[in-house]
Amino acid sequence: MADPENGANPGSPPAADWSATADAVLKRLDSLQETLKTRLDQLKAPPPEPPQSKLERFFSSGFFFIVLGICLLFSAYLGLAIGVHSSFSFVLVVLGTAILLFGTGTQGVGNLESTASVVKYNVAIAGGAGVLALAIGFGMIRFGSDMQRAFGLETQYVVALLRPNPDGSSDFSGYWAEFEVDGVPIPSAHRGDVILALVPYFSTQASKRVSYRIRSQETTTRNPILRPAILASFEVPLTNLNRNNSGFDFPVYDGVPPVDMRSESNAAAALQAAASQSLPSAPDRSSPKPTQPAVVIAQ
Amino acid sequence: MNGSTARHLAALAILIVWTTPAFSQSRNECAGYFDAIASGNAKLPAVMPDRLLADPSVAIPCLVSIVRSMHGEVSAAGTITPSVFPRLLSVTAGLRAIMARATPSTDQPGGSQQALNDFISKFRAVDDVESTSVLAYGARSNSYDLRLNSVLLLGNVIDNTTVCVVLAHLNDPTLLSSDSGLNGRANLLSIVSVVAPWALRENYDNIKATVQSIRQTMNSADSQVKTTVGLLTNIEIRLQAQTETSNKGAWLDPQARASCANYVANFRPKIEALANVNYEPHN
Repeated sequence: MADPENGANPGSPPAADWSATADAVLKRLDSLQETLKTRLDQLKAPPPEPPQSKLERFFSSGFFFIVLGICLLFSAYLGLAIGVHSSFSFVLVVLGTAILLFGTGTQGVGNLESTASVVKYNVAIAGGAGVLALAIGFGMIRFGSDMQRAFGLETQYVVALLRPNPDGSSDFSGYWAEFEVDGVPIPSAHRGDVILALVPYFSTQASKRVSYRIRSQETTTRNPILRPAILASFEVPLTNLNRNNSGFDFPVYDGVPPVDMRSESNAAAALQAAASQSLPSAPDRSSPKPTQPAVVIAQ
Repeated sequence: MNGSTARHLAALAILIVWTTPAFSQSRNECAGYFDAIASGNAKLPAVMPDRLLADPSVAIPCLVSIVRSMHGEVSAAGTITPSVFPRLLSVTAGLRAIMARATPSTDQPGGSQQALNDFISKFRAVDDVESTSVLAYGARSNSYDLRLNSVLLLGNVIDNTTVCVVLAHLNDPTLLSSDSGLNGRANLLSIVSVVAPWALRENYDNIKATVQSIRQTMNSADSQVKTTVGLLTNIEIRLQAQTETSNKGAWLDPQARASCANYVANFRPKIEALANVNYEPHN
C-alpha cells in the first residue's frame, strides 16, 4: 500500500533521484551544445595563413605591379625609338597599362545590385583590363587614324624633291647624287629633271636635316659653267607634310630650295676677260695709251 | 580690208618668209637648237644639250640667230616678255657655256686667250644690232640670271659696230622705271667701258655725251648710285686714253653707221636725247 504522506507508490524510485537524473541530462546537453558551437565556430573561421617571406610579400604587393607596368611601358617607348615593329610595341603598351592599373587597385570600378521580387539583377563591371578594353575599343573607333600614326613608328618616308635652279644652266644630267641623314646614306633616284630622296623619319620627329653631295660623273666634258661638285643640306619639316599629294605612306616634300650649280669663279673669269678686252684699231690709227682696265660688273 | 583678204596676205607673208633661202637654211641647220629651246618652259627653262654646243662653228651662228629672232617681240614690248624670257635664258646660257670652255681660268684647263678670241670672232661675224639689242634688254631685265648671262656675253663681244645699241638703251627715258633699272644702267655702262679706249669717232662722241648726260641727271651723293659714279669715272678715264692718232679720229664705216642710225630712229620709246646717239652721216 502507498505511503499517503509522501504520495509515492511503494516499490518506485524516490522523487529526488528523478530530479538529479534530469539535471545531469540537461548538463550533458548543454555541454554537447557548447562543444558543437565551438566546433562550428572553428569551421567558420578561415584557415590560418602560412607564414610569408619578404620576397613573396614584395612580389604580391601593388607596388611591384606598378613598377612592372611602368617597366613595360618604358620598354615600349624604347622599342618605338629603335624601330621595333609597331604591333609588338602596341602589345607592350596595353600589357603595361593593364598591369599598372592592377597595381594601383583599380580592378573593379562598379557594382550594381537590384532586389526585384522576381529576378535579381547583378551587374558588375570588373577588372581594369576590361575597362581598358572598352577604352581601347572606343579609342580605335574614335581615333583610328591618329592611332595609326602614333603606333606607325617603325620607319616612315617622305619623298624630298630636289630641282635644279631654273637658270638655263643648272642641270642634274651627268651628275651623281648622294644623300645622308644623320651620317647614314639614304636612297635616291633621278626622275626626269629632278632627284628624289627617300628621307626616313619617325612620327615623333618634327624635322629632318638632309645633307647631299652632287658630283659630276665626267669632269672633262661637263658644262664648264657648272661646279664639279655641290655640297649642301636642307631641312624637311615633318609636321606639315601634305599627305594627300601622293599617298599617306610617301608624302612628297617639294619645298627644297632649287640647286644653283653655277660656278662663281667661272663668271668672275668671264668678267675679268671682258675687262681686259682689246679691240682692234682702225686702219692707220694707233693704239690708245695704256689705261686702267674696264670695270665690268653684272648686278 | 576684209578678214579673208587679211588671212590671204598673212599666209603669203609667211610663205615668203619660209621660202627665203637664208631663213630656210638657217631654220634647217638650227632645227635642233630651236627644238631644244622649245622644250623648256617658264618654270624650268631648257638646258642646251652638250652635244649641240660641241662645235662652236655651228652652235654660235644658230644661237645668235635665235637671239635675233626674238628682236621683233622684245623691241615691240620694250622689255623681255614672259614668253621670250625662258628661251633667251636658255640661249644665253648655251652661248655662255661655249665661251666658258674658251675662257682661261684656273678651273678650265682648256681655256686660253686664243680660244676666247676665236669665240669672239665667230660671234662678231654673225651678230648685229638686232641680236645685240635683245642682249641689251636682257642686261637690264628684272632677272638676275638673264642679266648675268647677257653682261658676260656683251662684255666680251661688244665692239664699235654694236655699242650704239647699248648707248641707245642708256638714253632710253624709261630705263630707270623698272625694278632693276639702276642695276641695268650699271650693267650697260660697264659694257660701254670696254669699248671706250677704242671707240670710233661717232661712238667716242656719243659715249662722252651720254656719260655727261647721266652725270647731270643724278645725285652723285646718293649711296644707291655709288657704283654708277665709279663706272662713269672709269669710262671717262678710259676715253682719255685715246690720242689724236687713235680710233677717235676715224669714222664708223657707212654700213655700220646706217645700221645704228636706223636702230636709234626706230627705238621705242622714242629717245629724247638724240644728240647722245647721233649716227647721222657726217659731212
